[in-house]
Amino acid sequence: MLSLIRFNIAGYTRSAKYLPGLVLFTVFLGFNYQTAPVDIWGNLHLTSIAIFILATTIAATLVASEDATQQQITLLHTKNETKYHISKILSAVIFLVPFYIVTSVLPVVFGVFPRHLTIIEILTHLSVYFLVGLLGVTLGVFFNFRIFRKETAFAAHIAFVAIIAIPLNVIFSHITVLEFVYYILPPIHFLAEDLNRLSNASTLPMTGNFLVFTIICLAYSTALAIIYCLVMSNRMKQ
Amino acid sequence: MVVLTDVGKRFGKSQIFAGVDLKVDASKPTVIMGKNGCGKTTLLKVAAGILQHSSGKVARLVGAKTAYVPDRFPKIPFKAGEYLTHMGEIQGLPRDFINRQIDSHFESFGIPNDIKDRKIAKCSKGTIQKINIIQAFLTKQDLVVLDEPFSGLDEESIAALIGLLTKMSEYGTAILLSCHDKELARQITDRVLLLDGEGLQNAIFN
Repeated sequence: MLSLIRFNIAGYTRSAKYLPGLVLFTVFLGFNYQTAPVDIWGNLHLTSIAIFILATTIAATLVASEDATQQQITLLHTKNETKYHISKILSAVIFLVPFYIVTSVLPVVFGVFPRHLTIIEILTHLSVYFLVGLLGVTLGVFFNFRIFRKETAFAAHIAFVAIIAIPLNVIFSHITVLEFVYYILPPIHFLAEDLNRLSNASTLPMTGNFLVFTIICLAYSTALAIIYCLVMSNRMKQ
Repeated sequence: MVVLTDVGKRFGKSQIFAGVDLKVDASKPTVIMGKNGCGKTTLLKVAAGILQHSSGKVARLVGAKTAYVPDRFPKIPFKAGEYLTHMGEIQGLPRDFINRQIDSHFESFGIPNDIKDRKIAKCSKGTIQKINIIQAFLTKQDLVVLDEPFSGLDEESIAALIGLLTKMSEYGTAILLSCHDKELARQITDRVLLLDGEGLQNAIFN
């Protein structure tokens, strides 16, 4: 598995396909911290959505960065389809770790918050980014040319990101007929609801709720990863 | 190693081939010939397990190690040595063994050592084809499927490849390849099959 991940990340970093996502994310951070002080939990909410969008983009472009013929060669050398597909997810997850660290540490280093964060709060930021990033990755891997046509994959990705970034889920939750959409969308809105209740004075965020959020995220991502492996093992051989 | 019985393959409404019976084993290499567009590449991919067949039955040895040499090597952003090392490591081979194998293959194919540090995209067509072949022979496989492997190779490299195929076949690797050149096909094996609209037939040369 490690050798596959090394190969995936080495190929991806040289493909430069991560650059558009990286540039947009950097621009977002620059704008976000232009005015200080920044609300601690409101900022975590906003940066989580940005991390989620970045993660879907990184995952989608990472899967697309390997040539279709090379995928077939690699798959045969791997001898295990599930291992091959899971390696793509793990590669994207690992690739994103530096972004989580930078996004957690940057506002602390530049002192944009109205007070100092405790170590636990910084770790909470890191954990939220990791969970949201995991959700983004396990969704982003679906936007590839074996599942969608090239142009459709891009359009589907943009449409999906819009649903998450513009809080359409709130609209869905108020329309009885569409209420079910609220529950099948990635559970980022649960996080948003928790964070919106907190003020800058709150020091220990989401103790019980955070555990529930963690469990929901891990279960949702695991389900998506299983569906991805099943769909891809069928699509790769068509 | 792999047995195809009455196998057919279609993409959408387009029938690529049908009624193919083929047995590939280690006793001797199998060469598939046929006109352009008759479905040789698709058949090789079905035999390798890369593509799913649409009809018929494909039986293969469970857990068999299979390698594939495509007719067109993919565009990849790696140096030659680095790429081959990655392919070896993905197969679980130790680094020392991989390095020895790369050195040995580079010598047999007459590839200068400094090519290892050259980006594959900047190598000549023939060298890229050799790297394509080497990735499949870094370790002993149960089945190796090669699509037009002689394309772009010079005479010495063709001889080296025929030597390699013969040796691997003697060591128990089942070899299946496609080829357009009757003389080359005859040098490799007497099991030469022709793919046409009626399936696979024994090729009869004048």
